[in-house]
Amino acid sequence: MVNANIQNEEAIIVCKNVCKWFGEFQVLRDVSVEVQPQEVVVIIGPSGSGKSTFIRCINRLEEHQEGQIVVDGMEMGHDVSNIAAIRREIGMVFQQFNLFPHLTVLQNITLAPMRVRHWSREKAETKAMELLNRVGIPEQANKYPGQLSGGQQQRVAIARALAMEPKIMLFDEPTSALDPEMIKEVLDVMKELAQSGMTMLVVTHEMGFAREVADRVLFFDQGRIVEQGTPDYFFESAQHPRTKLFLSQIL
Amino acid sequence: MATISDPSNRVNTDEPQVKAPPRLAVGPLAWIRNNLFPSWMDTILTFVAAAVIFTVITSMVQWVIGGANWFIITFNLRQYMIGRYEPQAEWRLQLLLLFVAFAIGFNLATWARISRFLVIVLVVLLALAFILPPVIMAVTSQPHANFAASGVDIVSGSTTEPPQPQVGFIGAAGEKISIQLAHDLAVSDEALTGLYSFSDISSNLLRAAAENRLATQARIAEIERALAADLFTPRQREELTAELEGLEVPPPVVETYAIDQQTVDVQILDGATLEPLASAQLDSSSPPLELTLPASGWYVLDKRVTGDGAAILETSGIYPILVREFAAGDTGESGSSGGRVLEYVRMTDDFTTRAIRPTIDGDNVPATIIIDNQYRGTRPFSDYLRLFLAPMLNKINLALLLVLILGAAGYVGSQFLSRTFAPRIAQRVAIWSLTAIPILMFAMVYGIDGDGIIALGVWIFTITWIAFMYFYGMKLNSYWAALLFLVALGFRLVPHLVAGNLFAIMFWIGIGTLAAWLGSKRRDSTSPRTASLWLILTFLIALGGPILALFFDATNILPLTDTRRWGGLLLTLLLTIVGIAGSFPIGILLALGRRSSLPVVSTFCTVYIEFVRGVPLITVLFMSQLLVPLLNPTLAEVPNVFRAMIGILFFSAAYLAENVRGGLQSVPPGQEEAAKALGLNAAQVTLYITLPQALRAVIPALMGQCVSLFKDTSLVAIVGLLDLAGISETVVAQTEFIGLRRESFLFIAIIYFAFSYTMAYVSRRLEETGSGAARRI
Ligand SMILES: Nc1ncnc2c1ncn2[C@@H]1O[C@H](COP(=O)(O)OP(=O)(O)O)[C@@H](O)[C@H]1O
Ligand SMILES: [Mg+2]
Repeated sequence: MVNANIQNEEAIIVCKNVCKWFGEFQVLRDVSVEVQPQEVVVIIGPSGSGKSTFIRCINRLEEHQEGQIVVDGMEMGHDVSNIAAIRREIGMVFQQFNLFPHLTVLQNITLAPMRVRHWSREKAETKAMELLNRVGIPEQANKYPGQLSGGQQQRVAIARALAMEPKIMLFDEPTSALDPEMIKEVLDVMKELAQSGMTMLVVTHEMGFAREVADRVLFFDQGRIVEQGTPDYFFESAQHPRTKLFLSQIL
Repeated sequence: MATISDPSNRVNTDEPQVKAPPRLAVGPLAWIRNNLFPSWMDTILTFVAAAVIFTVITSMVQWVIGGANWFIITFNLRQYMIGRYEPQAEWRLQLLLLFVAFAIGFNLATWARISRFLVIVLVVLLALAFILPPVIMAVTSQPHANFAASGVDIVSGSTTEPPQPQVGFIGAAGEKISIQLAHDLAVSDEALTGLYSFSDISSNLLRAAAENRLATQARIAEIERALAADLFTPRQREELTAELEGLEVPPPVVETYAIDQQTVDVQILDGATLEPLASAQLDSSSPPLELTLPASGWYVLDKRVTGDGAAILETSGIYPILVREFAAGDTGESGSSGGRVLEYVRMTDDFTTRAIRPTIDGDNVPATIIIDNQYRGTRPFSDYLRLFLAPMLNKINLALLLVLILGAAGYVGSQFLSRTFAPRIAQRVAIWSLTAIPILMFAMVYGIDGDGIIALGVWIFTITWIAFMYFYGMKLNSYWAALLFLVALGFRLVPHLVAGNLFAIMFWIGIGTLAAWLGSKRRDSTSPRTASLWLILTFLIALGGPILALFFDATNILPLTDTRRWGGLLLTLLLTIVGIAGSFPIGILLALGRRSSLPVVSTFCTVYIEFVRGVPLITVLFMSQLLVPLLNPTLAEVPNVFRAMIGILFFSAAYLAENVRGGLQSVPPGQEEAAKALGLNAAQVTLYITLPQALRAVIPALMGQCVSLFKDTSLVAIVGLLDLAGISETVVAQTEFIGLRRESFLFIAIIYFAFSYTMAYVSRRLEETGSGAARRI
């Protein structure tokens, strides 16, 4: 295994033997991962292999049933205040954007900082404009999500997640619902984010992105991590037949 | 290698040309072709529909202008609007109306823009309301009244009316009375049937007799024509012949009664002394007898025919009157004590007198009472304008002006706020003003007494206190804590509050401490400035109410009104608005509860919703009237209106809950996930994300429910409340207005329609415009 020198104390996300079932069907089977601060982890795998379920467990949008998830030193369990505290540290970006259609872009971004972090409106709006500048669409601040293109919406969604100043960002196929010419603008934002030192977990099928940005690639199949490694190792000399099959299909 | 000559490779470098569409595809002609006559089937439908619309509208307009007696509306307008609401508290309703107008103007400016066209229409309508009445008065002549004078009984069909030599009437000082013979009518029976005016029973009988005769004549002519055409079976022929034999054309009415053939002795007597003030012997060529009334009060018209015939007098200045009777003291007057007071009101202009009705030999002189002196015949347009339109406009134009001014003030106010501060501020004020309407409405209509203010103060204090302690409680330093202690002490100084409430205060302080402890688990920091603002607010609210009550003796500011006197449109709106305002929070809670994951809560909500939805409103109303007092006898003392109100409220809440639940289901689950992922807690997710979207999605259904609630309030008539429909029933039951049910129904129908349509229109705009649109990605 690569990255053998990872020490538990440093990891910002620690998953140990995480298991989850939907009814009788086991989605996650003993998933164990540790993610270091500032690490960019890309998760790939065939559809239905449990990638989404796994990253949704990390901020408790799904409940895992066995095993342990520790985020930033806090154990994800049934303690409500722990869940709230963990969610404040984790930003998430969805495939379907999930912007709030009844709020303007600015309101979308300022809502959580004002309501959860209790920032003043001025502070929240300054931060929001800063982030909109960073993702390159400051002029859309007062529009409604429905008035934006898919790529712009996804960039707003990223800005919205960043507004909470999270330590970790989760991306669940952020470019899968986009038209080809919009994918690049979103990926650029994500690359910039990675370079700035954000800890990121990214589920994606953009192999170019994985190769360029990822520190580590995890390959999921049938709820397990079948193989993992640096992009170089992964794309050049993957060992497991499932990985090879998958790569041959998409590359 | 492909060359440019290869026909499958081409580049189009032409500049795109802009062409006008073909002539027949745009403009009015195209519209007519496409919309009215696209095919022969559609053409037929267009014509049939147009014919139906035309027939309905023309007959309706004919009736409205020519036939209907709108006195019932102008005269009872107050009842229709507010029932028998205490006159001395009426100013509260006026104030409320002005506030509502202001709020509506404010909200209009905040959420929408009104077009210049609408402004112009409103201003023109308002100007018309002021200009029309004097113009109508100047341009049209006074309507006439006809009285028959006769020496013989007048007979038409089975009705016989003996001549009445005297008739009493009322008039104001300085008014001109003129009396002459109606020669135009006396020419022929045809002319007589054209009589239109206020007419007494006798002259109306003459008209009826002439009409009957002409009808008989026409029928005979018709049968004769039919028989000549030879189209019938022998049996039909036999029947027609028999009918023809039974028909007999009497001699012309004008001849039978020798109308206008003899002189009439006419006198006008003073009502009190019975002294003649003017007299004349009128024949068809003599000039009219004219008199300027010396004083306001009763007069008597004395008319006698020397011979055997009859004559029809045409008078102007004598109009039907209505008698109002009420217990002395009911009007708020101090003078007369006990007994009944009679008041006489002239229908045409509300001139009122309390002079004693004239008597001759101890008997009341017959008077021009409205019941016997209705307007008969087909009314010309000018009489419609003068008798009904002008008085109606006069009654409402001032109110209209004030409402529009306040509406405009609200409009400008909102624009001012959004320009000087921010649109957000204006929006906040707009929402608060809307929220205030139901509360203010209830307080103004019902009133607040001292106890009420204190109770309110205590409640607001309690809630503010708990909120304050939850948010800021643990950040207090000893300085603030000491101040709080003083506040608590302050309560001891307010005698109203202390009676039995010390325990309550201790209790709430305890709750507050608990809240502070719970709140302290939140990690967030808040500025000390906001904390002190909150504290001062709590302080003011807690002490403000009771202090107000002490210093101004609040019982006298808005004394409670008698709920049994509420009625008319006021009651309808009150039931609707309180119903809507109250059912919204309850309905939303029920909807959330039904989706709750706690089985007990969701079962309760489901059972409640399904039960209420399975029961008609009438049952709920009866239940609130009859069954609820059985649960607890003290509930029987709750006024009828409130019990109906609560019934309506809980009824409507169940339907609202289902609508809201539909809306909640329509919000994609991703919304809730995204909100949760941002760290919002369950309450915040509902409040800021799911609920707003759910409500927006079901605006049409909610508005539809408001409209049906508005109309359903008419059911409360069944439990003895006089809402708009109930008042209409009592008005048409009065003897003076018997037979005017159609007028009353049409009027309330128009009111119901105006409000319902406005609500539907607002709902449509809410769906369309930015502020309410559900913006789907
Ligand atoms: N809420 C759910 N209930 C039941 N099964 C689910 C649910 N969500 C996902 N699954 C199933 O779990 C498996 C993994 O899903 P997912 O994590 O979305 O896969 P991926 O994101 O890798 O495509 C799939 O077979 C899917 O059908
Ligand atoms: Mg997925």
